[in-house]
Amino acid sequence: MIEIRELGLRRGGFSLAGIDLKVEQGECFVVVGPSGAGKTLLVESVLGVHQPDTGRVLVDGQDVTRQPPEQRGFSYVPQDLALFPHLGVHDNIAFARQRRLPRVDVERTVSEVAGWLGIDNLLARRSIGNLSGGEKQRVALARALVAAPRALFLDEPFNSLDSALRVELYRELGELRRRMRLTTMLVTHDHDEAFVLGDRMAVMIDGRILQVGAPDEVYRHPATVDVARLLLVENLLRAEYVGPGRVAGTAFYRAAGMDIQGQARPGCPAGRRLRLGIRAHHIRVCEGERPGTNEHANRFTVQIRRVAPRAGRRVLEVVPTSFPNQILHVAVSDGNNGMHYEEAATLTVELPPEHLLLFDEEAAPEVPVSREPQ
Amino acid sequence: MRSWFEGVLLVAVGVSVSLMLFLIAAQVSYTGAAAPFSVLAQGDVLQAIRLSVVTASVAALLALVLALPTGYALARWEFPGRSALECFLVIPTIMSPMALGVALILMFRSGPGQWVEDHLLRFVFEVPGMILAQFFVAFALEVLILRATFSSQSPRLEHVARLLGCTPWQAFRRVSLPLARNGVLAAFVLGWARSIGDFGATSTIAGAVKGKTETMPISIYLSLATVSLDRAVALSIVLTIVSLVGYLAVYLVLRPRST
Repeated sequence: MIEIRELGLRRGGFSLAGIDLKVEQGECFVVVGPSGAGKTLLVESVLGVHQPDTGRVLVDGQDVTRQPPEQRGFSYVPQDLALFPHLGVHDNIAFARQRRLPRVDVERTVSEVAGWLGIDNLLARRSIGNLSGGEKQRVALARALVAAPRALFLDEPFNSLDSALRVELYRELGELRRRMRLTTMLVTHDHDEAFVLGDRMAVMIDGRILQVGAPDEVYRHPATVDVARLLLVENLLRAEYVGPGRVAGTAFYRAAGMDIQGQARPGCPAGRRLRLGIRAHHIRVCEGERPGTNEHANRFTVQIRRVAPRAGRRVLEVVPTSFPNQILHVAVSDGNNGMHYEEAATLTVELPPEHLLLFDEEAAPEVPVSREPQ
Repeated sequence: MRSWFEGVLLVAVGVSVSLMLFLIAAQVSYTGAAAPFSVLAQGDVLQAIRLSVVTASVAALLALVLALPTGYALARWEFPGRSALECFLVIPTIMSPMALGVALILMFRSGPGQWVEDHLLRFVFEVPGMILAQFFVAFALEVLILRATFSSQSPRLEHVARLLGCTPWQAFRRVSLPLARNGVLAAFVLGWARSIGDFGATSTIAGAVKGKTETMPISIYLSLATVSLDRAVALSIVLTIVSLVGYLAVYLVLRPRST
């Protein structure tokens, strides 16, 4: 188990502050955050490349904060892979082993790991220069695995690959991790990667951890507006608390000229400033209902401003007719019951209360939400 | 069809080659093609060539031994005043060779330098002094080249090597040094070329003593001093050929690889 306690580090104008994380034995822990959030700095501090100014790093209860990188037993696949350009494929993969093991053992381990990753046919290549992106990725992963690390650290490892290859490597990495029962810490800006690979995830923004939890939990209940924005909650509306809703446990919030019913927030005073979020694909287009007849809660008439095509779907940019300054994004699948969406047309949309997210803008800054692994 | 930019490049290359051809043709046409070979038969010329090659090789090698860790440290360590230190170390490249020679003489005329001169090894007017002068001439150049070479390498390669079990020395030896091969070669070759052609610093500290401290540039100077212009030109051509052969030999042994 890797524990990061109160880790702080300043580099130039950037700082990591009070990082507290726990990576359990055998789990894949993903740190997701936008570019420039400090993810690489965090990983390299845990690896011992950078010495933290404050805090500690513990491995299985042992303090390794002052240990040099070579004594920590970690392996690292950085974003640029850092394959050694003067060595061939075999020597890159065998790099960690060549120092200390008999040749026979080295060859056996290298062949085994190369076989797992399907790159045994590349071992004779004397240069890494003409490998494809996916091959380089596998060689870097093999090099890290041959070292038999206590934990594997991956920094945006699939960044430069096309999506098909990425999916293939997700599967391979998952299998390898299970086979080797390997503790893994992966940092990425791609939240999809976090959901596919992570047993748990932390959201990091601007050098701070804002939320920790199971990926599904974090997705469904982002702790802050920034987390929600990172996890692609496309619609984040300024809102204020109006009062209790028609049904027990609900409340009305006013946003963009609409009275929207959502979950009640106990103790919330009237006029409290909030943010109300909903994902584009959670907004329902009410077909067959004539605009203007929306008597149900959370149904509003909107006008289409723009139709943006995406793969297999369309994203409509709409504005409530009651408040044309507020743009909402609504995702609809292509061929949505033969409906045609045209600019300037009006339609009725519903904001299902169960999908509404509420963030208190007047509350004190969020503290990390720690959850034990499930 | 070539763009105007390619045209400019072509003209620049053409002018460069023409300048070099004029330079060589001026010498060869003055003495005739056979003259350099005839001076090669003279014993004192062979001695001067030998002394030039030996002193330049030893000086460039010693400079490399010191410039390699210095250049590496300047590239890797971040500390206040690093740029100032770098400027300080390359003073010999911006200093006049004659001024460098004077500084070296003064160094051995007082303090620890005087003690070394009196009790350990004589430098002034001796071969070790020539090597020392050429060392300073080569060192600063080699530091500059090696600092640039190591700076161009991603430090992440070393980080990964460390995480794969290497100590800092092993990471340097197994990763950074092999990758710096071309830079090390360039540093040595340029340091050597600078040393073998040095006249100012070498002659100032070692004097121009015929048959004793007579390198090829000093030999050329002595020929000019005795108004033997034919011999001076022939020696110049010989020095150019020797330097070129030495350069090619080092180049072929440590041939740059496409890393």
